[in-house]
Order: sequence, then C-alpha cells, then structure tokens
Amino acid sequence: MSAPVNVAAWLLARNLERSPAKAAYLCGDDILTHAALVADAARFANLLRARGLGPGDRVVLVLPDSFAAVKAFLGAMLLAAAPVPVSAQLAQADYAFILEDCGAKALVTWEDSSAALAARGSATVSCVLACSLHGPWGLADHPSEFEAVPPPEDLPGFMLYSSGSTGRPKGVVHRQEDLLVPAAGWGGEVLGVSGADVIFSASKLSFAYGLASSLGLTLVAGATAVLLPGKPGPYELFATLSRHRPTLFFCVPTLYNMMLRAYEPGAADMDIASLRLCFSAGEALPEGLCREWMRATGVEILDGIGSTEAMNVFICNRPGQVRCGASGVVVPGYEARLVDDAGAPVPGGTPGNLHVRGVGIATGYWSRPEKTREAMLPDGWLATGDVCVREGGVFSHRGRSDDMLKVGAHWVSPVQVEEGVRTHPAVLDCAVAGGAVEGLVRPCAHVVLRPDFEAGPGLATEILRHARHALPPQMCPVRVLFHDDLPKTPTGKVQRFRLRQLNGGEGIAHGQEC
Amino acid sequence: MAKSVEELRGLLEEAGLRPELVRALDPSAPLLKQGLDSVDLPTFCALVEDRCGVVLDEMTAMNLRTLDDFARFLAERG
Repeated sequence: MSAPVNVAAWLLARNLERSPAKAAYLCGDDILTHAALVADAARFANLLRARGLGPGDRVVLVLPDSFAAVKAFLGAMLLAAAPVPVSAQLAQADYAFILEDCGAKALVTWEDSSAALAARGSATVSCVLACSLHGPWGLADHPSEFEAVPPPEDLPGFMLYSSGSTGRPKGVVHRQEDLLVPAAGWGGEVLGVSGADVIFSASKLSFAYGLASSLGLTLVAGATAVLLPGKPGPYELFATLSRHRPTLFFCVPTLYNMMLRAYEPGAADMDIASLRLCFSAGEALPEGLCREWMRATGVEILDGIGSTEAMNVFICNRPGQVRCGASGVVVPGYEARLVDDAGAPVPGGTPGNLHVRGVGIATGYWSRPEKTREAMLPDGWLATGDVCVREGGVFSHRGRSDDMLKVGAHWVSPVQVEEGVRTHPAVLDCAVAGGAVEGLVRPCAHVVLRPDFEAGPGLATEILRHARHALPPQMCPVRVLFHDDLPKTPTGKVQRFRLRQLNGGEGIAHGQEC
Repeated sequence: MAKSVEELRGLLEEAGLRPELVRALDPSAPLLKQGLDSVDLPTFCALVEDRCGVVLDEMTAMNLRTLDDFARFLAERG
C-alpha cells in the first residue's frame, strides 16, 4: 500500500467511490452512510479552519464513541491538524494536564463536560466545540466539500495518550499513515477483514485498540462498524451484539469474563450467532477464560499483544490455530525479539524483554525526548516493556519489566493508586502491586497505618470505599493488606516485586480470617 | 468454609458496597444484573478468598453468578 497524501481524504474517497450508500457506522437507531461521513468530515474541516485551526494544531477530542467522534477525527485529519482522542472518563485535572501537555488549540467535547471545564483554565485552547452524538452545533452550515491538506512530515498526524509509570500520561505521536497499518497484516492477513464484515469494538476510539478496529480496519476494508456511546457492561454488550449482528468482536479479558458470567445461551437479547471471530487484547487472556469462552459460545477467541506505540497488534493467535494461554505468533509486517536487560538475545523458553520492529511505530512521545530514547531504539526496535517467552515461534506473556499494571485493558501506574489511597486519614504509607483475582490482574494496596489506627476489616472497608471515590474504576484496589512496614531498598525505594508475592498469600488480608 | 447468604451479604458490605444495594439483592439472580460492577465483583471475590481459604480462579469464578452460587460453592468446599 503506497502512502496516500492525506490519509483521511484517501479513505473517504475510496469508500465514497465503492459504496456511498452503505452504512459506515451504526449507533443505536442511527445510520451514517459513507456519503454522509464524507460530507460531514469535510464540514468539520471547514469549521475548524473557520475557527483558526491549521496543520499540526492539536485538536483534543473528548467524546463518547459516536458519529461525532469519527467525523471530528477525520475532519481534523483532512486539515492536517492532529486529532488527539482522549478517554471520556477522566477527571478534570487529567484533562487540564493533557490540554496543556499537548498545547491543544481546540477541544471538541459535550457541553459542560469535565474537559470543557478544564479548558476554561487553559492558556492554549482558543476553540471549544460543544457536540451532540452527531456533531457540533452548526456543523450543517459549513460547506460539504474540502480540499484536503497534505500532512507536513515534521508535524504529528494524530496522537494518543498512554499512562506512564510516574502516573503522568505521555502523548504517543503517530503519522497519518500509521492509521492504515492495522488493516494490512493484522486485519487483512490474520483476520481476513472484508467489506462484508460488521465490526464492533468494546474498546473505545480513544484507545489504540478501538481506533485501529473501529476506524482503521473498518474504513480500509469498506466495512461497517458499530459504535456504543455508553459504558460497555456485559448486558449492554450482549444487547449490541444481538441488535447489530456484527461479524467481528474486539473486546478485553475483563469484559469477556463478565460477559461469560452473564451469558444465557438461547436468550433473545444474547444472540451472538452473527460472530465469526472474537479478538482479545489490552491484557493477557487467561487460558481458562479462553477455553471457557469457546466452549460456551462456540466462537473462536484470538488473544494478541499490541500497543499504543505500535498502533497495532504485533503478536497474535491465528484463526483455526488458537493456543489458549499463549499470545500467538508474530503478525506479518513485524519482527520480534526477546532480549535480556543488557540487550543480548535470550535462549528459547527463557523470559526476555519484548522488542518489536515494523511499519507504523510511533515517531516518539510528545515533548519527552528521554522516554522516546528509552522506548524507540535507534535501529527501529520498539522496547514494549512486556516480558515474554518464546517456544517454537509462539510467544506467551509473562508480565511487565516495569511496575505498570494492565487492569481491564487500562494502564495503571501503582504510583497514582498509592497517591489516592494515601489521602485516607488512617494511611501513613501505601504501596500498590498487582495480584490475581479471578485469573486477572488487579491492584492490591499494601498499607501501613498511622499510630492511632488499628488494622481490621472495618478499616479495610473504609479504605476501599475511600479509593472508589478518589480513583477511576480500573485503579481501585480490590484488596487491602496491612503491614507494619513496607519492603524497601536501602535507598528507600519500595520493592513492589516482593509485595506481588504477598498478594493473596501471607499478610493480614482484610483483617483476620473468619 | 460454609457461609450463609446472610453472611455473604455481610462480606459484600465489607467489600465496600452500599448497604441498601446489598439488602435489596435477590440471592437467586445474577449479581452483575443487580448493580455490581467490574470493581465490586473482584473485591468481593478477593474477600471470599481471604476469609474462606479458597482460591477463585477464572474457571471457578465464571460459574459464580449469584449469591446462591457462592453459598453452594462454599458449602461444597466444606
């Protein structure tokens, strides 16, 4: 595939030519055809230009998965501005940080959102567009034709924010054409995505996994995608699957787990007979969950590893050859290697740091030259931070080389959870490490109490409740363990690897046993 | 260690759920259908593991949908 001049223009024109009246997106009762998408993306580009936006300007999108989100993303790209889709679930302070960090010039969101409030204090945001699920007010007043701007090479094409180990998210900078890469090896050769497919991703457009499937795979193949604006709980997901009858379902292990608990074969609102494949990414799919999903539903589930930096899945299982418990083999277009901490290759069967190389890897982190040097190595390799073993070409995930946790497919920095827990008045010190509950990684809080407080079930409950108010769901600890002190290095750094061994093992979990 | 449905309600409250939600739970209906979310359920499972000396791996946990399921499972484990 040769690189088009403006990727959004190329994708839109291609679908307008082959199937203008076909549904590009489905959302609730509404249908957005390719022709309507072309017109509204152009209107969006005209609107942004009228508001003073131009090439390279960062346009932060804080929107539920909706027609508005797709129109805004493509509209910004037509102008060669850089869309920055951000989760709609963050706190005002997080939006304030991201708006400032990327030097956002425009914000597209719904009226009175936390992001809109954050933008009021921004020194850079000059344009805030309030949107419904269909687009910003007054969009129809703008012309439906727009001459796409060629994207300048030295400016970001689009950006996604990914959590960092210190708790501050990093902007991952991609070129426009990186959006097309998932449709080649992963979408084309592995999944066989075609125009006949209907794609549904539980992962939102603000995540690389959701953006790659709902936008990249869908528009390159000329397929149709289903968008779910609300929170994807198990019953909402089944209802969407029954109603829109997708052929491909992209989801994450935590939700597959909850769906299996809710599944009642034969129930009218749980009809999943339309599915030809399920895909799992975001965190490792436990072996038992993989087997049970296939037994209960009869639909194959393919586990894979990808990243925001790769904007793609680079290792995954193959249809007809699923190995539950393994991440799979290298996706066409990528190379993968496992190395020790000194960078030397490790022998087969030995855990090593996973590096991948291929087309479409991020050019760097926005304004983070040091982090960029650590992850994007000079010879084109990306240090993923994942630890894997390889046996006969098949990779299996073994964890992380840093303290980061993957919970419900979200990156969680223990530092942020610790900060939240420490705001409880009884907590003197806290360290957070991952522990397995129901086969999936969850944050567990190891707490040292202030002298006047006594460890016990009541206080553990109080700390859990406090955390639920202070932190987003994926960061909430599911276990509180009390300690007299925390294991630390001579320099005072918490040894989280030692705490991981304690989770669910020794220690006083939730007070005493009954 | 066996636990009655009432004792399990106590553990749900200890897991941080609102008492009025816990009191209203139908023990024979799926917990996920009655307002428990992706944090409540694993917190409750972790508490059941810690208090009752059992391990709820993914295969076991998947079949524990209702409070009655939990009570039956714990009774079988003695």
